[in-house]
Amino acid sequence: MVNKRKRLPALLLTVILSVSLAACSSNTGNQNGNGSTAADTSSGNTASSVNEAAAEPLGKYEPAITVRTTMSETGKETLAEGDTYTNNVWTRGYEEELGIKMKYDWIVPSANYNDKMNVTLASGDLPDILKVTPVQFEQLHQAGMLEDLTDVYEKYASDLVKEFYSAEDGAALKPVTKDGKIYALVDYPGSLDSSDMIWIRKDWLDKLGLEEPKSLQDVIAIAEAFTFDDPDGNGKQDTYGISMNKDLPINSFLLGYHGYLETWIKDENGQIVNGTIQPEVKQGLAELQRLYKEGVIDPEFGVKDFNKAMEELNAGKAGMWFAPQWAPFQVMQMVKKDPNVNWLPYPVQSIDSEPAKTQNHLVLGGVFAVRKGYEHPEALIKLLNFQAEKMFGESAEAERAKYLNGMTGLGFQNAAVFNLPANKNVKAMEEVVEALETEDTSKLGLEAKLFYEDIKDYRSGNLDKWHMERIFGPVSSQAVIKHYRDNDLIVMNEFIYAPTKTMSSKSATLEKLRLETFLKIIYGELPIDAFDQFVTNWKKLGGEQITAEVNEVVQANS
Amino acid sequence: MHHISASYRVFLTINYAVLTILALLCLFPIVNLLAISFSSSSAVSSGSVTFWPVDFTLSSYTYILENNQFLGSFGTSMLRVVLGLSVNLILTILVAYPLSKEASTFRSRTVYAWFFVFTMLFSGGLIPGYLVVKETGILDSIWALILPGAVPVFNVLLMLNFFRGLPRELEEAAWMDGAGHLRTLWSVYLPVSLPSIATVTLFTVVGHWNAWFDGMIYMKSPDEYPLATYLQSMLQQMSLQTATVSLEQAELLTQVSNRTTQASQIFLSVLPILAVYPFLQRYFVHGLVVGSVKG
Repeated sequence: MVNKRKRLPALLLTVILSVSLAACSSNTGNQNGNGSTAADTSSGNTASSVNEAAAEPLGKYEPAITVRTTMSETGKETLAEGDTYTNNVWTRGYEEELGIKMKYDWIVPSANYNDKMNVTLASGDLPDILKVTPVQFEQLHQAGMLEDLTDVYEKYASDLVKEFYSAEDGAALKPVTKDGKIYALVDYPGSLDSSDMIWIRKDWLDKLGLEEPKSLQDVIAIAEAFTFDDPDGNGKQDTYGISMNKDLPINSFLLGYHGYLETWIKDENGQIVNGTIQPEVKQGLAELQRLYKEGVIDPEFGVKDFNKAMEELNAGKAGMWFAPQWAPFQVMQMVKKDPNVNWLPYPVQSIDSEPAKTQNHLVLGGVFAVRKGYEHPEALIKLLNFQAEKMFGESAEAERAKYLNGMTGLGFQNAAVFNLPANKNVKAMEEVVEALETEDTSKLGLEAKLFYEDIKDYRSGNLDKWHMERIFGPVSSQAVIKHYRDNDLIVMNEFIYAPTKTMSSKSATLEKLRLETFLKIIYGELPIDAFDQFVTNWKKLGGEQITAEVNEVVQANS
Repeated sequence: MHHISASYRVFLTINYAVLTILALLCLFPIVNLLAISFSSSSAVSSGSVTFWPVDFTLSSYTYILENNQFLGSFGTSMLRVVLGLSVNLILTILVAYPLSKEASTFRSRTVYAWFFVFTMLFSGGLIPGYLVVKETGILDSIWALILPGAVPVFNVLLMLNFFRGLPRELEEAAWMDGAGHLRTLWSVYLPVSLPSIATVTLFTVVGHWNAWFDGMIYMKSPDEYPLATYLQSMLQQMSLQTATVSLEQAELLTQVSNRTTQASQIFLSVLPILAVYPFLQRYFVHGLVVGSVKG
């Protein structure tokens, strides 16, 4: 799977081959092939007679149609008692209210989903709705196998769905829009939740009589104090300041030097360059090297994976780590055991007078396309309308709990396709904080109200809900995100499209080169000037080519 | 031999010490796994479990008993081993026997041998393999896991060499008594080939038990997964490193990633192989050696 582009002709060939095979064989499974002949049998005579009601965003097909797609299994915990992936509250809702019968060609655990989809695409037996990755979308689009959804989106999408996709200047649909035509819809959670931040144990700060950090110098001083001043008070020097693992989550630190790792940024000439190879990163690495030598960073981090590093963090060995808004989920067990533990998030801090900014990425949770030639492309839009309506529309008040398997349940994972409002979390936090101050819950949105109740629950002693306070409360990760947003402290990744040709073939090598070099530099095995050699190598090994392609793509799309 | 010299004694001591350490190195991960499976999940997440359970509990095992998917996959794997072993053994023996004959008896022997060896060196690849299975119509059935690997060529070579190592007098005596090929194979060759059959059996059983990739590619639903595929999909976690994990995914992850249940399921899946091993092991060494060296 290294060189995707090069394989495309081969893929096309197999696709064509298998379609013709399917056409030749007298296979009784009438779902075969993506040709026009086979599809007719599955969805019958409704093809030309879309009735009046069906033309509405939530109108019902009479008679019902069948839609073939695939499903990723996300854990039985998301299903109601007695439901299955093929027969659950969503599939029944689709059938009863939309007249759409879901037929899942296969259902596999999410870990295996992409591999299975690759084989399916190669075999040529495409489902009607294709739930794919951006890379697979790109391949399908270039092979000309996707239906243009521009018109059906305009005609059928509900106001709610359109509102979701218009967030952040319509960023969500940019990667799937080609020459002004929409070829897919997406699951777009918004870019704000990818913000970087620094998590620090406030109880240790208090114990050592330290102030909250105002600059990166403060952050470094705190990390040093956590290492040498025995913050856990056991008389032994057995703690360290910064928790780290072999994948090097050092973004939040480098941002203090205005270094933007793995992010495409605009330089002063308007050209797009990769943040990884900028001199700011070198400065940050030099400081990390010094801190490692001092013993402030976990001395064995190079052999620890994320889970192992989390174990030590939970055992109270470190007082600082770098993670996005979801960090409380990873340490909630710790707080349950010892309520004195107090992890607080802080915005990234700067080494100089210029404020530090977070680097954000456009992240697509999924791409939903329709295979070319399918006669009900609008069914995809309707399914999205339905999910938005049940979770956030007028019927949400009454039906949300049923569809989500509990008001804050994760049952939406079992919807055939879903999209949540972009950046909904920070909005919910704002409402929650206001309600906590005024005690007036009337203005709360549906989700915000649930978060509000959870926080109330925590404040009255239920430690199981601690993470809600730290994600949605007044001092929380979402509050840090609000700080970034309101003070314009966000650097967006300029490249929001599917990987370019050279990226697909070379980025794994470049990533490995980066990790190895940076690790050795921090370990002190290489001098800091090895960074310059790394930059040269990076460019030579494909980085230069990728940069050119990225500029080309961004220009073509702007 | 009754007198053991001092240097030999030193050798023995060091030998046993090294081997003991090696054995323990192999054993420790399993003991650790077992300890984790019997511990509470909060003890595990803070990393305080090594070789003895902390906060002893059986909850992960009761969870498995209530979890139909684990038991279902266990059954699928069992069925796969039984069916796969029968098919593989029969075909291995039926292929190895004629190929073990001299070229004077079986003239195109070399052509056939290369025909099989060729498949060892070159394979059609993933997609063509998938297409063949799909067009054969066995996709999504247990046969998709068995038929593509029905003739394990490596095992055929092993059997073939073993058959060749047998004294020719045996075969000649059988001919004199009027036995045909089938009778010779069944009544003369097989009874003396038990060591190599045991070896091949072990290879086959372990191979089928551990194979996960084909299950992932050929099966439509996790309910039909063999155990190894089920475990693989359970253990392969989303990487939390990137900022690309949404709040909902992070929450889901804390719900599903439970290391104690994972540990207990891994342990249970190792158990059958651990149980089979001692019974076949005594043939195992013997079978491999006899197959290669005459004597």
